[in-house]
Amino acid sequence: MKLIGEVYREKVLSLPKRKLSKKEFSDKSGETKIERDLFGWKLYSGKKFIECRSEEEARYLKIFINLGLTQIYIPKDDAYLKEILPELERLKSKTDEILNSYLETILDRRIKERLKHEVYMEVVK
Amino acid sequence: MKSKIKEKSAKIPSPFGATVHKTERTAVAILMHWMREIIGKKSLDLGMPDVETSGADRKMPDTVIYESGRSKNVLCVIEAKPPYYDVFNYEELKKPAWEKANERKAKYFATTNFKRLIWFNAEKVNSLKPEEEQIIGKYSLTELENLDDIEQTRYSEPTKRGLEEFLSKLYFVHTGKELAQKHPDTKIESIFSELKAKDANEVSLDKIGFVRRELDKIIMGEILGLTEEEQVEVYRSIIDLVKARIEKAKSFGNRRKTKEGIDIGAFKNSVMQRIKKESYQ
Repeated sequence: MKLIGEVYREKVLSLPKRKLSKKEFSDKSGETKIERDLFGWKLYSGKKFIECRSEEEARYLKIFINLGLTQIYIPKDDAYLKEILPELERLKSKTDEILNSYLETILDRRIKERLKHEVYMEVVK
Repeated sequence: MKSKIKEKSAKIPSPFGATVHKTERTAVAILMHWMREIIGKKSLDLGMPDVETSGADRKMPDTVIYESGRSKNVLCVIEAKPPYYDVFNYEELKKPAWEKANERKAKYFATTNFKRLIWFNAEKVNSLKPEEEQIIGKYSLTELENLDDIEQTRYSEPTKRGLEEFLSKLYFVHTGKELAQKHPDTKIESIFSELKAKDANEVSLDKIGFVRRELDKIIMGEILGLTEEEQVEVYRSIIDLVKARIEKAKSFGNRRKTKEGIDIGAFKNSVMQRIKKESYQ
């Protein structure tokens, strides 16, 4: 069984460094959303944002930022990124679905966040 | 009774007198005996002190301490005078001790009137440094006024403690561990290891590590002004407190891993199992 972390290692980190670019997002400060403006695609987390070269890159980054990663390697090849993105999104939504089924009976928001964080850390390990 | 020659009073010993008095030499011999005991007990690598060893100068220092058990090099010369002498008396104590130290190439010398012991660095005395720099340590031994009483417990015990402190420091300075003593790089252990006691009843000042004790002497003794009995009580209370806290912590089991009754570890394992199972369905 593969987890998001395993897919990331096998399909992204295994690529040569020259085929990867690195983006850093210091701290997730709110809900993440993707927006497009005159200058291109942006991934917002609260008031902070990072510029993305395409919608796919923004979606890719959104997955990992929501999981709590601060340094993310992105394949430079857009076609390849498009190819791996659905699998990563599927794994992320599946993980959230299962996690939410467990968390729906917990009402305390702080505990929920803590448990979510623990599971996400395990998923990207 | 008057003397026939100078008309001064003369003391004629009674032929039937049975009283004996301790002299300076006797008291020095007792000090030496205690120092030997301390060196043995503390396993300090210092040579055993000797009394009145004669050197090339035909002068006999009251006590000498050798560099090590195997060495005949004198490390410290000690000059003693009865309690009514000032321990800083230059002509009668410091000067003879200094000269004898130089003659024997001893690095240190000490003067004592059995009430206090002053430890000097011979090299700094030779270079006429200010007296504060010449003195390495000052040790209060006892409030003794009469040498006959030196072996009474109320005088002997504090004297032994003072000598122990002096000999330990002498050993540390001599073996180059002085810096380690000033800036201890020793690890801070648990309170049980530091005090070498697992229970309040086992606490004893003799068992406490040297560095720990030296620090506590300054804080509890000099700054807070606690007596030794009070310091022992402080140690005992700390041991009791820490022990009680540890016992209490144990009774809570894995409290730290749970939040509002949720076992985080178990929750994580359960979710991960399901994620692994369903990820590829």
